[in-house]
Amino acid sequence: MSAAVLAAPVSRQARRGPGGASARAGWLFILPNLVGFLAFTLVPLVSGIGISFTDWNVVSGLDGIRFVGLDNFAALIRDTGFWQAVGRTVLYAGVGVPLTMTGGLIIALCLNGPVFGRSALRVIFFIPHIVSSIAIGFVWLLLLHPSNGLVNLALQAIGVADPPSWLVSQDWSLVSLILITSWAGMGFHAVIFLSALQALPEDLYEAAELDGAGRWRQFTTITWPSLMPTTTFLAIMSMIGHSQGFGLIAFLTQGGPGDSSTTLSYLMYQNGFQYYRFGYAAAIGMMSFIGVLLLSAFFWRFQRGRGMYS
Amino acid sequence: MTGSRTITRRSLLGVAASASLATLTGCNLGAGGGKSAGGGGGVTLNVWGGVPNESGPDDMCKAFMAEHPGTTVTYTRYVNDDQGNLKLDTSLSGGVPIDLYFSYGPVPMFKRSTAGLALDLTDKIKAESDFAALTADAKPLSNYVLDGKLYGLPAARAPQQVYINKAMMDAAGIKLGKTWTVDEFVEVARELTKPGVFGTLTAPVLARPALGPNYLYADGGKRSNFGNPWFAKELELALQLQKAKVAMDRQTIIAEKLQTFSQNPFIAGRVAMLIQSGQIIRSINDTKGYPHEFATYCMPVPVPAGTEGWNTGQIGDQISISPKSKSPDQAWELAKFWARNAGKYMTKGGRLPLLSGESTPDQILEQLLGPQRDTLYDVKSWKSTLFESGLKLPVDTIFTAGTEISTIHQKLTDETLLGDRTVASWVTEATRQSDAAIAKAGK
Repeated sequence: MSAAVLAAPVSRQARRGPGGASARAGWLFILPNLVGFLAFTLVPLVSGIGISFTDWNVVSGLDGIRFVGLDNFAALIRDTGFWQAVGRTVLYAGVGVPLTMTGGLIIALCLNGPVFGRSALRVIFFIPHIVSSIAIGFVWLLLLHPSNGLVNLALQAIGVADPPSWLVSQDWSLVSLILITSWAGMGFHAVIFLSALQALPEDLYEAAELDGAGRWRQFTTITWPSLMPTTTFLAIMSMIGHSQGFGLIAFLTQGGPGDSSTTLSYLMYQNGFQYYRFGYAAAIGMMSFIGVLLLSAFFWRFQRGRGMYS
Repeated sequence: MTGSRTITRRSLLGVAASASLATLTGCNLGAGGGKSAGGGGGVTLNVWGGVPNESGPDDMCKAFMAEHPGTTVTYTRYVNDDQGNLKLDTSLSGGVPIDLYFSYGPVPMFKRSTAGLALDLTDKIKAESDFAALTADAKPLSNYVLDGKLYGLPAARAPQQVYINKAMMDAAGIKLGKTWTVDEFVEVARELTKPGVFGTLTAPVLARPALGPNYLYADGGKRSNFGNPWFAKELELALQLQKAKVAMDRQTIIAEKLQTFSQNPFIAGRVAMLIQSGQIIRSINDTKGYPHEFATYCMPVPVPAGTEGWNTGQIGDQISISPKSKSPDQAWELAKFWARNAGKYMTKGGRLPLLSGESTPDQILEQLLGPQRDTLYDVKSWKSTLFESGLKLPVDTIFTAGTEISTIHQKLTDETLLGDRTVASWVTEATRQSDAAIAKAGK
């Protein structure tokens, strides 16, 4: 059979080669996407890389772009503010990503069982993901008001004499942002985990039960390894999301009080849009991009061969 | 039959192209939008400014077009924040047809003029006799000068004043003169402080009234001036008033974003006094959006005893002409008209004219305080403060790293008022960080 396949004549369509009519039709079909990719992804990406090697204040127009080589990167390495922002971003993502994922997984495991009103609950948990960050921010601004917010009133009611000032405190502003971001992201993670859980073969659990495996044993030996590809995907997506997190920070704290919640993305905004140092801002963006890329590669490498079906 | 019409692909594309062009050129085609009625014919002037259309610019454009029948004026509003200013800057440098634009403060104006986005208006201003106070060599200086040249024609003065809840003031039996010192202000704030009411939203500042123009810089702009004792005194007073609960605590101010929405606690009766510039007049006059029953009394900002007593506001609304304008002469005509008629058309938006033109103080007040002025304001105190108290508006000439220094100042002040930093540490850090920003900008 294989010989017959090998001997089959090359079709006329295939013989037309890359310049043929069908190829042209193919190009035509992907043209909208291709144009979109070029205009909104490739050009900005290449421009961003290019700008990071320049000194440019945007007001001076394209004529005002001055090539400075690696100066911006050298300045960044000497900038203590940059390293502090790196530290905050690592903390923001390092605590926020596991928290979001753990919360999402717990919700998914709860909703995977026979829960009353499961569909409604799924929608409810998913709502924060589709609501605008400004609306979320506004609600949390009221909830976390240091003296009149419901959270602190509740804490006082249970005997906490001096509750945190949350968004208005240098010690708590980043913690507050981590909690809010994680809360907002849990629903999305739960939905993805839930679809993965529902795709797991029932017979594995039946066999495990026959072998006497308890709930925890079933989770550690079947569920968790099976969820590894989903977990890796969500970890990477969540890490990228946290490293780019901007809306809630800009709305809730503007990087403050002081610099206490100035992450890399906010530092980039501040340098670009407030100080008009676009080259420096682009360099911050590039450093952030490289960091996320390396971490994503690490995660990807780490999960290879660990998933049950991989 | 003319009833039905088929939309062809070509006509649809035409409509789409027109809409795109309108968007790109900043045209506001909606009702109440920027394209004011009238005019027509030859020249179209595109103006970009931060004041909402209905708060004066539309009336100004209509009046200009009535006097210049061959000219159409289109006013596009940009919001005067980081994003709005960036939109204006990229539009100017990117070739969007803008003839005239407004900068709110010298820092953005000089940023634009340094980048070649503004015409040199020095000679044009000198040629107009009624602009004598605005020339580059006028004494005292009433316009912002960059390397001996003028790139903006200011249309407004934006002094700060103290807004006082007159009902609370009367209840406390307080009588005020025409001016006051900081100590007198503090005394009044203490008297007005009651359970649930702060005497003042914020403490008065001391450094600017005492030091005047270029108060942030020392050595002609080579380094910052935060080591000057007035800055430390200013912070100590703020901490003292906050601790005594005479001024609202910084925590609440930040939590409720009252740096931006300072009118809210004043109109709601949570603070008895507010130090602010004129734009909150729009909120006070809006009794539907901000219902309240008390009248607002006006006083000049308090000055530290024995100092010159500079106001903490500034000269504002700088009109510049884009070098890319195809009609620079007509644009200059409009700029002059705007500056001369600001009293007539722009005052209702809370903007006091720099040149009163033909308007008398009473007419300006009538515009500024609106039709409900006799119930919403103590008109006499407003007239006294704005026209009889000898307001001294400082005109700075040094702006090195202005935006960075302002951010550093605000962040460190927040930290100090939140109790996370001492005054001494504020002085050290403000000096160190600002000097570094100045050095970096000077390279």
